[in-house]
Amino acid sequence: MTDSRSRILDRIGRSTGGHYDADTIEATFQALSHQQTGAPVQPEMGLTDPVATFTAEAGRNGARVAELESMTQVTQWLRDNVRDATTDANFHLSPAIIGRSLDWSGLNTTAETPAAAGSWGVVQAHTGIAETGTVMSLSDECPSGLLFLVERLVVVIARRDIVGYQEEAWQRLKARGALPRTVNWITGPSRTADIEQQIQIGAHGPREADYLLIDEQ
Amino acid sequence: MSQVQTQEPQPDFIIRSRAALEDNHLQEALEKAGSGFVYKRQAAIERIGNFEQLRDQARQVRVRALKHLDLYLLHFEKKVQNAGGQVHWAETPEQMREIVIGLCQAQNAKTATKGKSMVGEEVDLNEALEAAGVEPQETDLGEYVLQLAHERPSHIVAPALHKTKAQVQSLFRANHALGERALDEVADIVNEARAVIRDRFLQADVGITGANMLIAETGTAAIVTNEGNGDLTATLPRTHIITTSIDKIVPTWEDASAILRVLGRSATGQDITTYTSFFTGARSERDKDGPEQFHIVLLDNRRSELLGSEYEEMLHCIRCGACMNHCPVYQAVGGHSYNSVYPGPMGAVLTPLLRHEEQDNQLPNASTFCGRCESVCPVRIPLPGLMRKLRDREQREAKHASVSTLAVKLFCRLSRHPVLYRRLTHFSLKLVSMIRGRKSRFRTLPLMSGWSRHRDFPAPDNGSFQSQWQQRHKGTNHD
Repeated sequence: MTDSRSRILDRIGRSTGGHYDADTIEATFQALSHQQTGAPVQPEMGLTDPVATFTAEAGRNGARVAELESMTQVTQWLRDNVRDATTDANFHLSPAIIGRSLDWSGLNTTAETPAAAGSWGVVQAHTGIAETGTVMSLSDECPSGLLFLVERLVVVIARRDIVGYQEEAWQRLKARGALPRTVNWITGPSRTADIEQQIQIGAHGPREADYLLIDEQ
Repeated sequence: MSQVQTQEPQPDFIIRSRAALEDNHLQEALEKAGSGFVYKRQAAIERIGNFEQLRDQARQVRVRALKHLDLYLLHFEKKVQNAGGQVHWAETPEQMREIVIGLCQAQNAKTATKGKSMVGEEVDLNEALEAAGVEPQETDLGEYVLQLAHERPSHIVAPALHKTKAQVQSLFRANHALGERALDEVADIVNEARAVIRDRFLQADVGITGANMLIAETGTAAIVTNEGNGDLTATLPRTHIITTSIDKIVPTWEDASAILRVLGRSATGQDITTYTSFFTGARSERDKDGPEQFHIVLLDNRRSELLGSEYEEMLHCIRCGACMNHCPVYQAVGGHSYNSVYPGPMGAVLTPLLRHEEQDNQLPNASTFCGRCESVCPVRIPLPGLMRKLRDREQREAKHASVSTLAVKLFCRLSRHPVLYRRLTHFSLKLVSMIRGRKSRFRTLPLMSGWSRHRDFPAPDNGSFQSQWQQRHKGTNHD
């Protein structure tokens, strides 16, 4: 299909007037990007306190936000929130959460693929974005599938990791170096409006989304 | 899963739309969907103070992306390769089908889960996969319903918009072993689909999705969804294939933000969809999961010919569907009347340009030119203007001049000869008054049955406009 490639690029080139060989692509791209960097236009929404806006927007998009003080309170919050005592809740943890040696007594943690009802995912977000109440997770920190296969997703997020607008999240992402295979942005529980445009919470992903705000040094 | 309807649709828009107007299920579904999108969009843009500026910014991003499209595509390709993925180029729908089937067969794939991809629909991917022995499994709820019904999408964002809840219930009853499970509420229907499709995610050999944007900076494909099916399709199988088109490029991540800020608000009235996911290449050793193989297939299908043409602005389209949500014609006749993957105003422009079949010439005429589509388009595509250009093109290309063209030409000639014009109108009014006798309205008119079938034509009184004007001004002083 090399021919298709060159024919398509030729046709585009007739309009753009561009001729690029492999060596100049990067330099030309960089030059163009620098030329065009202007101030981004961001939604006007009175965003002065990122944590407050994050909390409000996440709530509006269907996530529940809980205010905690530290990571050590997370497991107690989970114990308090396993509501239906007759259903065994299975907790699927991201590597970052496992690495924190928390007190999991009374909670059934598992490494199996989340499938049955009653599966909870507990993960830590890399960044929170106040603009839309969104959490960002990276596949080199947390398996992407975990975010989608559980029934209830609990995302722990440090208040210091909450930024105002999307552009600040990009800066944090680019500062880490090579991109992970998947960058996930999640805003609330999964939903569909495919049946008569009626919004139904809980489509293929989690039916519930909880964001736990904590302080970290 | 079996074939999409084998019966060829009626090639005439007028006949298709007449049938649509008489289809009670469709009218009920359109009624229910109708204003929802409009109100939700309005509420979303009122929550922020500067939506018009966001539109301008999004438009600028699209202009810049197309201005150096080849550079950005080449940069994108290189970055995908650096991240362990591959980019494939398809000039035609046929080539795209061949490439995707080849990739599936190289994996000995028996099943492929699918996220929503309008480009996949554009090239009839499902039929080709089936014929090649790969079972396509739609996972978006709307697309899944349509696969059961053997139908095409009728809307680019809400593919099963034309289906009522009752119709979905009977499809599920016919196709699922329901047992004791209920199906009364929307929640029951969604849960049923979730349960049936969940295993398919875990077992599929290949996952095929579309892409909303391709970010040149890092070779990243962005996908915007609400159900989570797109991510399960992209993440769980060994191979992830993206079917998309060359015009989806944006230069940088900041540019992607500019598009995201208008896309959700314009489409569903969400400031952001539940899931926005960015895929860069295949899984590396640092990643905790993800596919081992990553392929992006880029479709041209005449898009490169539009670049630099008078239709270039159509390539700005970000596929939000706002134009059809606000279109009085689409809202009356639904998406299937357009007989194209792309319905509504954007489809009325894009279909004649990409498919260029004789029957597609009707589509730019399926508009009242009320202008709502242009007024809500997040990237300000002048849709009525483009439709007007396509109407001109139709006239230029027409092998035989139509009756209406001849009539307009005749009128142009006549109006340049005032004396002849006056005599002729005078004479014809005499003729009309002889025919009408005492009637004040005509029930039928020769050559105008389309008009008189549904209404009467008032019989003219008191002579032509020009003669009345002269009468009225006889006594008045013009000085």
